[in-house]
Amino acid sequence: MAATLIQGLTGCKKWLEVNPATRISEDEQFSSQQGYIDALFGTYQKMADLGAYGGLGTYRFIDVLAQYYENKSGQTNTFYGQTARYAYTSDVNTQQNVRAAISSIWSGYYGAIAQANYILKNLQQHQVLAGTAFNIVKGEALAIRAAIHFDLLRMFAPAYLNGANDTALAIPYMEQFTIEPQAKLSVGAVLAKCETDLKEAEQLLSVYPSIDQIAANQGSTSSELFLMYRQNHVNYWAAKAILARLYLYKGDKVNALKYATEVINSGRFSFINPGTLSVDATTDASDITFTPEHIFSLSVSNLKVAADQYFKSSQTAASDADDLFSTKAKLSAMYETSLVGYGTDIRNPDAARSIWNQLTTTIVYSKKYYSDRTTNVKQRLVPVVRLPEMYYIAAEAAPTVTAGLVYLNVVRAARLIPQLSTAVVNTPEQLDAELQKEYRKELYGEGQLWFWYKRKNVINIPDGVGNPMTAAKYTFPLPLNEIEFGIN
Amino acid sequence: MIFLTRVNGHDIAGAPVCLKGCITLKVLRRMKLTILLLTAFFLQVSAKGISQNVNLQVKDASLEQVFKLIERQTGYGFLYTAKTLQGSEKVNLSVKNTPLKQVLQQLLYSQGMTFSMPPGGKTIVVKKQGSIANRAPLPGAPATAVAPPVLQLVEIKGVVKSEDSGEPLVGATITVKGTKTATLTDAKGEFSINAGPGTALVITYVGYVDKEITVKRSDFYEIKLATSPTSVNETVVTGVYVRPKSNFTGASNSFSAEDIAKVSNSNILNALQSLDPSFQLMENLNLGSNPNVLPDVVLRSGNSLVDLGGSSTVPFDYANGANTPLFILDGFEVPLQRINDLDMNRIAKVDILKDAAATSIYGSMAANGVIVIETVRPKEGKLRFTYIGNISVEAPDLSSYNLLNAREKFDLENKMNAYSFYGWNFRDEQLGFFYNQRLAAIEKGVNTDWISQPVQTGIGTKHAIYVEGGANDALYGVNLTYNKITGAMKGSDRQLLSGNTFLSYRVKKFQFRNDLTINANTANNSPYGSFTQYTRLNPYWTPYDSVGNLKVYLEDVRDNTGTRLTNFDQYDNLDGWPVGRATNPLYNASLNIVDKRTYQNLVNNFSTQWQAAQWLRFTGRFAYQYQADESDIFLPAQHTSFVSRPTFEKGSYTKGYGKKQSMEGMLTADMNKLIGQHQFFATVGTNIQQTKYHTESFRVEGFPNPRLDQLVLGNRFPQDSKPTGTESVTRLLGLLSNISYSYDNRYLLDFSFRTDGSSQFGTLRRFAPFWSAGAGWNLHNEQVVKDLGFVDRFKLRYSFGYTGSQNFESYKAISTSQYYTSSDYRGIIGTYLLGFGNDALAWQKTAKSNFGADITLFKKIDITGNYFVEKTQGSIATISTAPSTGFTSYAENMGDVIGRGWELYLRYNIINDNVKRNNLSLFANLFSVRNKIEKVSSTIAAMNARADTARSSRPITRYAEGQSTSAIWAVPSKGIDPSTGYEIFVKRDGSLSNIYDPRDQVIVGDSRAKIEGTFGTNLELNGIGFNVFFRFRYGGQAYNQTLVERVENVAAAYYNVDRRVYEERWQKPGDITFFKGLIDNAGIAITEPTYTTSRFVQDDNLMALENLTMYYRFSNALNKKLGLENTRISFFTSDVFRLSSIRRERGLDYPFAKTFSLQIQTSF
Repeated sequence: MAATLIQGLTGCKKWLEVNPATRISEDEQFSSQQGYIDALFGTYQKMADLGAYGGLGTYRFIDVLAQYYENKSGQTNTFYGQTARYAYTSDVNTQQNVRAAISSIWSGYYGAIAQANYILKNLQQHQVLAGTAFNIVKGEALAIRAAIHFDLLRMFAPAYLNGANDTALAIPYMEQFTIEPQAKLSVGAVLAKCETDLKEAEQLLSVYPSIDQIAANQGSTSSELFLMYRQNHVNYWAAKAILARLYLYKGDKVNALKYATEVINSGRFSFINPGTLSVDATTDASDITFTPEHIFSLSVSNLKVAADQYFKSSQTAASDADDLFSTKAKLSAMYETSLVGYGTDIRNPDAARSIWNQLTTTIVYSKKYYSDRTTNVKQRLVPVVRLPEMYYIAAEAAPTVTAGLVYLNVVRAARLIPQLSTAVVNTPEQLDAELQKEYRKELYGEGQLWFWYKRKNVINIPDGVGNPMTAAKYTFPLPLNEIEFGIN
Repeated sequence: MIFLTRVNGHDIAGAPVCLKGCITLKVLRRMKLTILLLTAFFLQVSAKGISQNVNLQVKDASLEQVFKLIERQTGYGFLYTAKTLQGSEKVNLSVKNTPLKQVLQQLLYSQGMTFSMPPGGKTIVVKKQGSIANRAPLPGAPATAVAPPVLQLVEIKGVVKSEDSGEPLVGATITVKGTKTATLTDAKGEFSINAGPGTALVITYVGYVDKEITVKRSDFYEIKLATSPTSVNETVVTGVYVRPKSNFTGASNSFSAEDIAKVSNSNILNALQSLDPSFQLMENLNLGSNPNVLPDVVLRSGNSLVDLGGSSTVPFDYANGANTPLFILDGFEVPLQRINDLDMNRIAKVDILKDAAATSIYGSMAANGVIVIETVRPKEGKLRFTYIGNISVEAPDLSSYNLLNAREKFDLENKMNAYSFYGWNFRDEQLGFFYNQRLAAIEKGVNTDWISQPVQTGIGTKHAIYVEGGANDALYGVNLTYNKITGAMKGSDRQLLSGNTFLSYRVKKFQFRNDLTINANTANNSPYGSFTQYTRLNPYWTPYDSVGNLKVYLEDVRDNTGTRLTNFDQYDNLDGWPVGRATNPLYNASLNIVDKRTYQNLVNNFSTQWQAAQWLRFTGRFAYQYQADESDIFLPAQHTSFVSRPTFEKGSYTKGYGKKQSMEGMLTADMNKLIGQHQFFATVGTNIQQTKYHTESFRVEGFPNPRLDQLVLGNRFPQDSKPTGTESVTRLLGLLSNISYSYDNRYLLDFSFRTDGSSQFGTLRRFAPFWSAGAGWNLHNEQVVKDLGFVDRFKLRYSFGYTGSQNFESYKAISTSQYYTSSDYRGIIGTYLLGFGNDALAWQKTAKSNFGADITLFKKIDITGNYFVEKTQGSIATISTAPSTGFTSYAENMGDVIGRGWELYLRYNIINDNVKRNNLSLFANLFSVRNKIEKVSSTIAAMNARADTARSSRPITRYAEGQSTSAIWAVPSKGIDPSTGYEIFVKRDGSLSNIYDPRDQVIVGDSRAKIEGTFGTNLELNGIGFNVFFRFRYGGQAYNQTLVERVENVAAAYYNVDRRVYEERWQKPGDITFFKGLIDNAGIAITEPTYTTSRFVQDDNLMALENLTMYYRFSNALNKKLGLENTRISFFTSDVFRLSSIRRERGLDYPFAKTFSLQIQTSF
C-alpha cells in the first residue's frame, strides 16, 4: 500500500515535469550524449560571441587597449578614443560605451563559465557519458572554465607582478552552477584554482591527443564532428598551452618552459609555410590566421559581419567611425622594415602575400578575419593560443638568454626575418625588448599583447595615447551590476 | 438516527450537494429543539430476512438501549421523540424467541406508551398514550387489547422531484402535517410514510417552495417542487461543492440571474462591478469602450506585486494578469476572455468567493479570489422556445474633450510667436506663407471637428434562441446566440456566434450530463487607428481637397517659387516613423486596412454522478477546451506610413496564430450526515489539469497594390526578420477536501485542505499544501436572540487560511536551453542557457483572514460586512543577481504585500411581496482597501533608485517598502510663480527652487480611493421594474496626465490642444495661474517639459450614474392571452452621467461610449 502510494506520488511528480517544446529542459538535455555535446558546443558558441572572444575580448576592445589601432587620436568622446585612454567608467554613448563593453565581456565570459558548470554539474549527477566522450566533455568543460577565469583575472585583477599582488582581491571563481554570487578570491587563489582545473583537464584530455587538420566539412551534421576540429576545442595541447601561459603569468618559469616545450615538441602544430601561404580571402585556400599554428581558436559563425564592419571600408563615413585600422607608416615601423632583412617578414604590409588590406597609406586593415568565401572553414576563426606564443613563452622561461634566443629564432625564421644573435641580445631585458616587439608583430588582432604589457607592467605602451600606464589603467573596474549584486 | 442526503436542484455542474440540513434544522427548531427524531433507515435494507422474533436479556436498561437491541435484531427502526421517553423507567426483560409485537407490548405498556407498526414499513412509531388513566390496566396484557387509532394509517409512497429539471430530490423532508411524523426521500428521491387518509403531507427542501398535498388513499404520488425565488441566497456554490449559506463560514456574495438582469445585459463583468464594489474593472483612460479589449479585473485589489522587472507578452490573452481572479464556469477554470464573451442570458448564478474558507478549495489558484458562474439548465416539460432579442446603441462620449476651434488655435499660435523666427528674415518670410494660408482657410470658415470624424453611433444586435424540454430521465437544451457589438469608433465591432447543447440522462442512481459549446468570434479593430491622432489635428486643416478627394497630406504650403515649405514638418503621425508632414488619418482609413482577430473555440463538459447512498454521492467530471486564434493586420502600400519606403517594402501583413488546449478532470465524493444536532458535510476529491498553448506570428511585406490583401500575395519576409512565438505547458494535480460541521445550526466549523502539485513550481517544491479553517456562530438561533423577535439572521463568522497564486510564466523553475538558430560551431548547432531555473521556486502564498457578519433585521434590513487582512508572501519577482553567476536575473519568491480592507453591503427592503413580485429596496455597497508593501526584491529596489534619477512626465510606479502599491510619487510644488511663469518646487531640505530635481520626489497621493462603492434602488411594481446603480469614489488621487500632456507638455505650434492652453496658462507677469508659462518673460516659448509634480495630483472623487434599467414584465393573464410565458421588455442604459473632481480627457486611444439597449424576452 505504502509502496503504491510512493509509486503514485513519483508518477505524479514525473507527470508534473513539463518539457517545453521550443526549449530543452535540463533533464532532457543531459539524458543523451548528444545533449552534452550540444551544450559543450553551445559553450564555445557563447565564447565566440562578438561581445566576448569573438570581438570585444580579442581584436576589438583588448587590442584597442594595446594601442594597435589608429582611430583613437583626438577623439576623446568616442568609444575607441575613450578606450585607448582607459576611461573605463565612461558611458559616453557613441558606437558603444566603455562601461558597457567591460560589462559585456564580464557577463559574456561568466555566461560561458555558467554553461560549462551546467555541463559539469550534470556529468556528476548522471552516468550518460563514459570513456573517451566523458573525458573529453569533462576535460574541455574544465579547461574552458579555467581558461576563461584566467582571462578574467588578467583583465579585472591587478597584475600578479611576481607575487606582489598575490593576496589582492580579484574575481569570484565559479565552481558551481548556481545563482548565488560567490565571494571574490585573491589573485593567488584564482590562479591556483585555474591551475587545478587545467591540470585535471590535461589529465582527462590525455586520452585523445590527436589533432586533425582543419578541413572542409560544410553541410555535415554527423555527431562525429565531436572529435573533429580539435583545434577549435580546448584540446589536450590547448590545456597545456594555457597552463604554460598561466605559469609564466605567476612567474613559475620551470613549469612554463615545461608546458611550452611539450606543446612545441608534440609535433602536432607547425608554422605556416610562407611559400604556399594563400592570402586571397575569396578562395578556399586562404589561410590568413595561419591555422596550422592554432593550438586553440574559436570558430565565430558571424565573423564576416564583424570583419566587414570593422576591417573593411564601408559605404558611409558614419559606419567607418568604428573601423579598426593602422597606418602604413606605423605598421612599417612595427615590422622594422627599414632594417636589413626585415622586409621579407611575411607579416609586413608589403609582403608579397600580404595579410593586410592597404586602402590608403593612412588606412591599412588587417585581413586576418576576412570571411569572403563561405566554403572556406579556415576563415571565421579567432585564435586564442597559437604556436608562436609557445616559443615566446619558452624563450622567456628558458634558464638563460642564449637558450631563450633559440626559441625566439625559430619563430623569426618561420617569419623570414633574420636570427638574433647573443651578441646583440645578451641580457634578459634585451630579450624582453625583442620579445615585446615580436608579440606586437605576431598577435595583431588577437587580444594578447595587452596582457604582455600588463604582465611586464610596461609604463609606456608603444604608440600609446594613454601613457604613462598605472595599476588602475591595467585593471578593469567591476561592472556596476556586479558591485551592486555581488559579494564585495 | 437520520442520515440525510439531498441534492440541490441548482447543482448544475453536478457537484453532489447537501443542502437540506438547514430546513430540517428549522423543523427541529420549531419543535423547540427538545425533540429528538431518531430513526434508522440504513438498517432497512439489511432488515429483510431477519426474524420477527426477538431474544432479549436486559437488566436496568434504558428504553433507548432496548430499542437499539431490537433494531439490531429485527431491522425495525424506532421513531419517537425525546419527550416520549422522558421519565421512562428502566427496563428488566427476559424474552426468548418471542414475537416482536408481544415484546413491544411488554416493554411499552407499563411505561404508558403505545406503538404502531405501519404496514409494509420498517418503522415502529412509539408514542405516549396520554394520561395515566388511559393506561392499559395490566402490564403484560395481550396485544389484542390494544387498538390504537394510528393503526388506521395507510402507507403513502411517492417520489419528490424538481419542477424545473425533473430531477429527483434526495433527502427532501416529508412531514405529516400537525404531527412529528417525518421521513426523508432516499437516494432515488422516493419515500414512504404512513398517514391517515385526509391528512396533509408537507414536503420541504432547501431552495424550493414548500408544498402540501392531501392524502386520499394509499397510492404513489409524484410531487414536484418549484424553485424558490430566493433560493440562490440560500446556497453557496464553490464549483466543487455546494453548501447551505447558513452553514458557510466564508465570505462570499451570490447573485442570481434576476439580480444581474437588473444591472446590465451586455457584459457580466460590468454587471458584477456594479453589484459588488470589491469586484473591480480597472478604469483604463486609454482604451475607453473598445469592445475588443479585455478589461483588467481584480477582486479585493489583488494580492500580487506585479513584477515590474519582467513582462509577459503572450498574445491572444492566453496568460492572465498577475491579479486576475480565478474564473470557474460550470465547475471548470476558464480564461477571462470566455467570461467576457459569455452570453449573459445563459447565466443562472454567480458566486464571488473571497476569503480563505471560501476559496482554499482552489489552493494554488485562489489567491486573487474566485468567481464561480453557473449557466442555466433546461427545464422539464414539453418543448419550449425562448427568444431573447436585443438592440443596443453605443454613443461616443466626447464630453471630456475640450479642444480649441480653428480661430482660437490660430490665435494661440500667434501668442506663442509660432510665425516669427527671431528676426531671421527668410524664415519669417517662409512662416508668413503658413500664416497667410491658414488665416485664409479660417476666414473661409474652415473649422474641422476632427474628433467627430472617426466616431459613430454603433448599433448592435443580439438574438438568442433557447429550446428546451424533456421528461423523466432525459432532458435537453439547445441554445443559439448571435451577438454583434458595434463600437463607437467606425469599423470597430465584435461578433460572436455561439451554440450550445445540453443533454442529461438518468439511469437509476446514475446521472450523465454533457454540455457542448462552440463559439466563433470575430473582432475588427477600427481602421481609423488611435483616437489620439484626431485630438491633435489642427482644426484649420480639412480632410478633403477642393474637389472632395481625401488628402494624403493635410497641408501643402508653397512659396512664390512653388517650393514646398517644410517649417512645420515636425508632426508625429503616431505611425512609428520619425516626425514629418502631417498625414491624413482619414485617408488611411479609406484604404483597405484589415485589423482583426478571430477565434473559434469548443468546450465540452461531461459529468456523471452516482448517488451511492442517501448520504454519499460520487461525481466525475471531465472538461475539454480548445481554442484557435488568428490575427491579421494588413496595411496596403498606400498607407501613409510607407511613404518613404522602397516599392517592394510598401504594404505589410502581420499574421498571428494561436492554439490553446486545456483538459481538466475531477473526481469528488460528497457526504453528509446528521447525527443528532451534529451535521456534517464533507467533500473529498482530486483534480488534474493540463493547459497548453502556442502562438506564432510573422510579418510579410511588399503589397504594392491595395487589392493584394492576401498574405500569399506578399513579396517577401522583411530582411533579418524571423517568426516569433510563445509556448507553454502547465500541469496541475490537486487533492482536495473540505468538511463543514454545524452543531444545532448554531455553531459552525469549516475546514479545507488542498495539496497542489504544479509544473510551475520548482522541482524541490513540487507540492504545495493549502488549508483554511473557519468558524461561525448563528446568533439568531440562540434563544436569547430569538426572543428579541426582530432578528431574523445574525451570523458571525471568521476564517483564516492560505491560498496561492501561480499567474506567472511557466518554465521559471527549470533551467532550459535553446538551440542557436542563426549560428553554428563547426557544423554543429549548440545550445545556450535561457535562464537559471530556480528549482526552489515556490508558490506565492496569501494568508487571508476575514471577519464578517450577516444580519437581517425586521425581515427588511440586510447587512453584510467583512473586514479582511490579506497578506501575500513571496510574490514571484525577478531578482537581479551578480553577472558573475552567468545570469543577470532569475525568478524568486520576493515581495510581500499586506492588504487590509472592509466591505459593507446594506439593503433595505421597503416593500417585499414575493407573491406579487412587488418590491422596493434601497441598497448601498461600500468597499475600502489599503495595501502596504512589506518587502521588495533587489530588482525593484534598483528600479526605485533609477526612478529617483529619471525625469519623467508621468509618475513612475514604485514599490517601496512600507508604502502602498498605488502611491503616486512626485516633486512637491508650490504652484506657478506669478512673476516668472515658472514652477516653484519644494526640495527635500524644505528650500524652494525653480529647478526640477527628480531626487526630491515624495509620495504625494494614492490612486486608490479611501472608500468606493455603489448605491441605488431596485423597484418592481405590478411588473414594471426600475433599477438605478450609482457609483461613487472618494478619497483617492490621480495624476492628471491629460493636463500635463495636453496643456503643458504640448507642442502647440504643431498640434491642437486643450482649451486650457489658450485660456489658463501664464502669459505675463502678474498672471496668477495654475499652469506654467506658455512663454517666458522674454516672450520665448517655454519648452522645458513638465516632469512629475504634485501640482497635477488631484483628488479623484467621482459620482456617476453607472446603470439605469427599466423593464416591464407581462402579467400572467397577458402572457396567456398572447400564448406566451415569461415575457419581458427591458431597457438598459449605462454611464448616464458622471461628476468627477478631476477634469481630464478620457478615452485617448478609443473613446468612451454611453450605451443604451432594448431587450425583449419571451418563451412559448
